[in-house]
Amino acid sequence: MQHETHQRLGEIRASVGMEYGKILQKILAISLLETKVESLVERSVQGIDLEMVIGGATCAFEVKTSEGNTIKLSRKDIEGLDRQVEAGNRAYIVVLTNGPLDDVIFARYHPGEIPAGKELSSFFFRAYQEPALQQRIKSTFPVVVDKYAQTAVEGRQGGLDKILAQYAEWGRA
Amino acid sequence: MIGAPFPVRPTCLEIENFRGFRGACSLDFGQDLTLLMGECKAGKSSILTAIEWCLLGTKIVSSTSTGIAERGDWILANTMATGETRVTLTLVVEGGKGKLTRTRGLDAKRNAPDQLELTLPGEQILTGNEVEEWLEWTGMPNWDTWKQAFAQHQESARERITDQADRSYLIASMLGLSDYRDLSAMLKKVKPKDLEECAQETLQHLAEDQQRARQTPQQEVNGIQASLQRLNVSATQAGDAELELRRKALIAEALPVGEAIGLPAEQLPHQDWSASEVHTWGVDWRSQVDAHLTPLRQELGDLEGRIRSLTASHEALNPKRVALADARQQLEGLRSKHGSPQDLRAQRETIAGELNTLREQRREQGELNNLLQEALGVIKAGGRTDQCPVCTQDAGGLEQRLQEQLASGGEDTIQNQLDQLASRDGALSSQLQQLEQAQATFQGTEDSLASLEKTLRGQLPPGTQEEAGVTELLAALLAQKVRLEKTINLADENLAGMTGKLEVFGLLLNLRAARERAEHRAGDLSAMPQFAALQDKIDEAAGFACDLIALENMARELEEEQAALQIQAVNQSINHYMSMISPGFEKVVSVHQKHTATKLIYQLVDSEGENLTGTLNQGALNSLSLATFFAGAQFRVSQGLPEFLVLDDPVQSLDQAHQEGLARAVKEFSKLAPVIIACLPSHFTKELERLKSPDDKLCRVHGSDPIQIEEI
Amino acid sequence: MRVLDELEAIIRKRGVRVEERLELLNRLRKSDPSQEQLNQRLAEFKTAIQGAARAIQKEIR
Repeated sequence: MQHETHQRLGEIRASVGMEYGKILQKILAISLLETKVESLVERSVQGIDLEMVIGGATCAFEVKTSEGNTIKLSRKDIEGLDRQVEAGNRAYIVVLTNGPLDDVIFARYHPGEIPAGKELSSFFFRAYQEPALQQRIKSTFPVVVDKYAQTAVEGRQGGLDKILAQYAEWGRA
Repeated sequence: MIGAPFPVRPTCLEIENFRGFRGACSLDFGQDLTLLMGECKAGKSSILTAIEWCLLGTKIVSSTSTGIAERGDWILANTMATGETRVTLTLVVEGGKGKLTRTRGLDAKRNAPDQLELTLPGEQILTGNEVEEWLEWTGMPNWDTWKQAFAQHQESARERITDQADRSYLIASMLGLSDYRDLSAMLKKVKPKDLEECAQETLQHLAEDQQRARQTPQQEVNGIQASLQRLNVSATQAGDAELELRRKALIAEALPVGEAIGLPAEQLPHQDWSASEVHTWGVDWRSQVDAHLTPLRQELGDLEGRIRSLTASHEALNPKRVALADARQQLEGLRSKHGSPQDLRAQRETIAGELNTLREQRREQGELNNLLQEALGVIKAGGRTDQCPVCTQDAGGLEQRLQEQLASGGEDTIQNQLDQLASRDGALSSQLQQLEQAQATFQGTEDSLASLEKTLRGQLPPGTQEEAGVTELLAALLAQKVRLEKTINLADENLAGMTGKLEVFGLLLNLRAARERAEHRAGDLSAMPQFAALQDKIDEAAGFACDLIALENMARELEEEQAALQIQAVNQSINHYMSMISPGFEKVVSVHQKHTATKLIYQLVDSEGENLTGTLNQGALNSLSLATFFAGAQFRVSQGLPEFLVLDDPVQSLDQAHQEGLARAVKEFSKLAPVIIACLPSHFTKELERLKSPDDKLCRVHGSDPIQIEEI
Repeated sequence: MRVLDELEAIIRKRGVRVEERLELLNRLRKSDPSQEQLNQRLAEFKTAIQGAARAIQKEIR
């Protein structure tokens, strides 16, 4: 990740505290929407965070952020992801830890590979990352962070929701 | 090499010079049961140890390898022996019988290897490592398996079930899960977490390096700004505009200087030069200007000298002329008063002659006077003043006459004349001196004036009039001096200011460069191809680590699955043997699988899930240990693996009923695989005697020297 | 070893990093002691990571 992008994310985290995970989720959503997806829906109540359709295929994202360098998936997260796989969708865990050199990792979820309730470092998820998705947001993510950092700090989730609403492909369920 | 299980079992044992056995001894085992009874120190345990040593080697006497502390002090060789130690075990193997012989030299050091030989059917002979490989291939036990499923050691009867690791190992073996556990344990030892830590540490250090690389240009900018601040150039002022202003000013101030001092065009700055070019030029400026100023300064010095000289020459003339006139006047005055020097010299010459004459006269008179004095003296001395002392003639009034002559000699007159002449000469001398001096003064002044006039003429252009020429020349020289001074001052002022201005200019230039470096986000790794290469390496390492963890987890999951399938059978087996050994035992024993963070462990629990090993008495623990022992051995038999039991005094803490129960369990098991037991005479041995079948062999071991084994 | 055969079946069924994990399994089948081989591989990865990091440090220091 570029230094400036990491700096801006740090500023956002310092301002918004507990909301950081949700806010990052929305920033990611905007970054994905900028890459011309067919649809992107926020599905927080159904066990995963985002659902994206691209090229006719459905991708489910569980977004995990951390102040340190590990994240943990709860049993509920795992169950949600399992359901996605059973439904024939591609499930991903999107990991962003706090190291200055850490990047967003789109790690493909495979049932049985990831234990629930265990602290796992971003290193572990690198084994499952899909370069295509990483590449997708490589150029848009830093731009979006820079552009909407202030909105995130001042308007919080509501402010970013207004931005998201401008995209025809965006929806909430 | 894929091992096909075959129930290898021992049929005969030959011992020579081993522990209590001095000399040779042999024993054929019963097909089912072999019981070795005897009192303490009879040598019965040594027979079992001999089997162990033959199969497993010297590791059986290591306290760390065996986990049995007292074994560390064991000595294998018979202390009275005079030959090597040898044990041979005859085994039923695939295709017939084999003989496994282990030998150790008489004075072999503790760590020295044994000689190992195996003779197989078809006269095939294996030695050393080949034998070890064959034993492993056939499924013969290593120490851990021996301890869990082959041998009941009296030193550690209950550890089988009380030690968590031993218990889990045994039960896992009974469940057929040794391979799974071994694989999981091996994968765990590889420590994929090391890779994670390596990657994280590496990224951490790089992040710190990046931070430093970013801070350094900014620190540089701050440092330069501080230096400029000290030179009264504020941070806001210190920008491109100021740099441009100063660039132009440096050029504008230098050009007139360069032109004035006659610098060639190539040494002068150009208006279209960049700030860097101007700075480079500025660094050399002083030396170039100084090089041109030096001759100018020299010229100025010469000019000033010339002006001084001309002025001095011109100003010295008139006084000299006046002095000459005075000297002439004085000389002429003296001449007219005293005459010429020649006249005076002539007069003095005359006087000198007269003086000489008078001096001669005086001398003569003096001599005469001396004679007269002398005569007077004689006369006085002779006492006759009227007689000549020489001729003695009468000379009346001689003394008086002599005195009168002395008085009238005229010496005083001569002297007076001399004095008068001397005085006159003195006066003449003085006049002459004055004349000569006046002459010299006049001459000197005349010469001096001539010299001055010559000097002055030399400084003027030829043919010029003196006065006008001097004035004109002086004016020209002064004008030249002024111009030269002006040029030199201009250059000096420029140089004096240049040092400070160049310093500020240089700092502004450096500041611009430092700001550019800071702006270009020095140290941002994400753009470097090397960083992408590092990320690829970390991804690859993460994949490897993840695969190791996944395999370990899969092995553990498989172990769980298999355990779930086998547990019932194992529980049945344990409870079967427990009911035989301990008929009054009311609890039902179950194997319970427990997950820890890193592995599966096995416990023995009752029907309410309570851990049995924490609650049973010694006798019950011994019984349970024996029951699991038999159950484990039975499992190996069911797999077609080599199996035979070696029990050393198994009746510890067992009362009569339990001993009888154990005897029944032993008898039952011996139908599946051979059992060899060493024991003190007891209810247990009596029961075994009672239950004896033709395939059993009951022996009494006598602890005599040599040890005797008697079949009963 | 039976366990290795069963692991192979699970790896194929799960379909995650199949090629890499089967290669690892083959190493376990072939070599003895396997742990030493795996430790060596681990050490190679560490060396590669540290070498790549040094190349970057040379540039930015």
